[in-house]
Amino acid sequence: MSARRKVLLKVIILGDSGVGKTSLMNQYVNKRFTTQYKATIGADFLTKEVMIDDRLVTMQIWDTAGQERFQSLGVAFYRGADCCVLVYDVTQPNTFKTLDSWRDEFLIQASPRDPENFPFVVLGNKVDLENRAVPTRRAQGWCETKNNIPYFETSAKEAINVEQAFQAIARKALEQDAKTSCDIGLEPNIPIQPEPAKDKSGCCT
Amino acid sequence: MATNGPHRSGNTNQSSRLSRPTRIFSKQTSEDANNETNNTPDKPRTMTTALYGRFDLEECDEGVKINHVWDSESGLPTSRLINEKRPISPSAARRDSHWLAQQASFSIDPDMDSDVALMEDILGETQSIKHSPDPLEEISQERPQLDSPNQLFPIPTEESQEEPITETLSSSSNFRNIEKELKLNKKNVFILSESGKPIYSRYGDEDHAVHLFGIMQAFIAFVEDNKDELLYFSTDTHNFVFVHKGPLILVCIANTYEYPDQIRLQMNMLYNQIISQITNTQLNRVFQEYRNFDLRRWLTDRFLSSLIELMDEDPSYLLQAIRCIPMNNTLRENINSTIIQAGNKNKKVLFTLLIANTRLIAYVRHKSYKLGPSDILLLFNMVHSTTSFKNSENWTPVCLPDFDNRGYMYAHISYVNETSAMYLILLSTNREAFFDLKETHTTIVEKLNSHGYLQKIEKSIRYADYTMPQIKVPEVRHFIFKNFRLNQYTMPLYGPPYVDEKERERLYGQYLYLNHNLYKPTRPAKIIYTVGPKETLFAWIHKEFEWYAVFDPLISKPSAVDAINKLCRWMKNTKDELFLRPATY
Repeated sequence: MSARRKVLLKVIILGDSGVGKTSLMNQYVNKRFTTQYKATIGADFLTKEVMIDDRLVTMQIWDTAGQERFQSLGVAFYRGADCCVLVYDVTQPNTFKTLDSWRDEFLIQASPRDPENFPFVVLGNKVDLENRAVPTRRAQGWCETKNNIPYFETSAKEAINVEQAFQAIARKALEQDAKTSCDIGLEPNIPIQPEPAKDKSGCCT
Repeated sequence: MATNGPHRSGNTNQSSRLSRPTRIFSKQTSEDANNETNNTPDKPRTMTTALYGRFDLEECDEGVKINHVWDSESGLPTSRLINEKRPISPSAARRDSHWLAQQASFSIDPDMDSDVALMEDILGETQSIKHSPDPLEEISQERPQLDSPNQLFPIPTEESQEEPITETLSSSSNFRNIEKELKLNKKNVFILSESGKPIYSRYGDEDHAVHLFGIMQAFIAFVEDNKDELLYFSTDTHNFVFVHKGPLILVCIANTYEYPDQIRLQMNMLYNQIISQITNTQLNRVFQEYRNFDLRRWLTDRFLSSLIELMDEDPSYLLQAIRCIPMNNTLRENINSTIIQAGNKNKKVLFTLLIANTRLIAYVRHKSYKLGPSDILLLFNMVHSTTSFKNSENWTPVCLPDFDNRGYMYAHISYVNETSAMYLILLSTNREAFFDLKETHTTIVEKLNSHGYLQKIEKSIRYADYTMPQIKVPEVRHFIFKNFRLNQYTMPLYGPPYVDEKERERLYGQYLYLNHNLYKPTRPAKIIYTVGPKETLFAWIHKEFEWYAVFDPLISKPSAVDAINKLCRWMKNTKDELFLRPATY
């Protein structure tokens, strides 16, 4: 109940296979990048502590597998997220087109309380590559139609915008967490009208 | 064969502990390994069908990995699975071994090629388990007398603890430290929400164990995806016990004498402890509305930690029974009538308990209501873990889950005086009743004092413990006797050779073993008599009582029976002093 209480934020990263979800996370948490591609199996979990306005926040980042065969675990993983990060590859238009279905899938599976205002962040990854195929304007336009989702163009390889993007993600998640924190207190007044015990075995009968 | 499978290609010889098969038990699997081989897929699935889920902890060159075996269609190991052994590509194996120590991941593909090999491994193993028709014989085979905890759950050697786990993504995380801690602590307890958010960790900061919480949640979700429930899995050294109740997940990782069922009972007690602070109604409501809710804001860790400590050594929790202060029956009646008179004045008190430390002195209840032992134990724990109750009068809402988990009762808790270990708990359903209960408390204490009962009780508390020589049944070293009807138990002080902590712990381990065999779901025993190198063990479950006793290892069966009969007579003669009967308003 104190203002200094610990905050833990659950962040889910979604997007097609190969767009760089794991790489972004590794760049952010471990400051590393590898060109080797290894498909994520199920989900990976990483944590990072960040300071946001003098507040120490632990981010629990759930990096999910993009491959379809792992989608059955979705419900369990999406549940209770504070922020959802949608990633696409700026050189692959298909990965951008599927953002809609990733977003819908998340909202269906996680069924957050207020789906309209649930915080998303969109990352267009691999901007270091030359064969760009999705223009910034197009991505921004999509984000605007979805209740102004913040949009970042990143490169996990060159560490471009990664830190900034995750800062924004943490901030968004914190807002979401704060919404649930301020208005719920423990109600000490739930009296009971117990029914007389019949033959329930009790202590010292 | 399994040994040729890619899972075995790792550095298995470096850490044999990790490479041993790890067994998973879920609700639909059986404890009775013997059934596995007899089962055919045509048989209806019951509680005792086959073991069909198994994980295999293994060290590979990319860290620790968990393989699993699962026939998702029938839920049974089938011959189809074994015959259709498909070749396994090395790249698939590499992909599957993406199990990192530092960045923990979870693999979820039930059709993984390599499972086939492991399935054969299970069958091979289960066939080697012998069936013993004699339950007693089987019990002693299953668990020989314990010399030390290491015998049953060998603690990993220095080398295996120090063994470096390859980190493909190294640096910031402290997963390795956590793993070390997990091994160092005998019993780790974690509580998390269904969404994998940390709520409680017995040791260390729960925020630092978030990787672990993710994996635990994944384990649970994975098994539930198959419409099953994960109960526990065991490695050579540790039991991993899972309880998914309401919106919470409780996990215990223990290297102790306790059996998974006994740990489950403890996890349920912890769940009740949480309910007692926030009620079932509020717990469910908040997670229905806010799945990402951080429950830590509502909980006091202290209650949970204290309860875990009590459960580690106090048989009350294992037996779900109360221990009281032995007392002259007339004195008890006098105390009861004092409490009843004071309570009848305002009619707002539902229950009154007079307690010293964690032992009951008197219990008066409203004639229509009863308290279960688990609720009383939670009240004990609440006072036990709150030192500030000593110096002040307290009025607190408390939910008693067994009585009614929907809402709060209101408790007036106050010690009888500054020096005593004795306190009164008065419970009411009326939240405005503070002043009435305060008055009742004062009246009770005054009356007890003026009649001199208080001094007499203090004397009883001082002499509450008895020793075996006092009972004059020298053959029995120690015993625990539980009265089912009253939900109370009694036991003497620990005498030689159970004087040091290690021996006491070992003895408690024996009791846990006996208890497990009286209550195990498959073929529970009624009477157990088993001779071991350090003591002869005896347990007996009867419709009115449950009895555990230890004798000298060289005692003959007739003398043991004789001693038990002597104890029976003693118990009969002293039962009114040992056990209390509740009075009613």
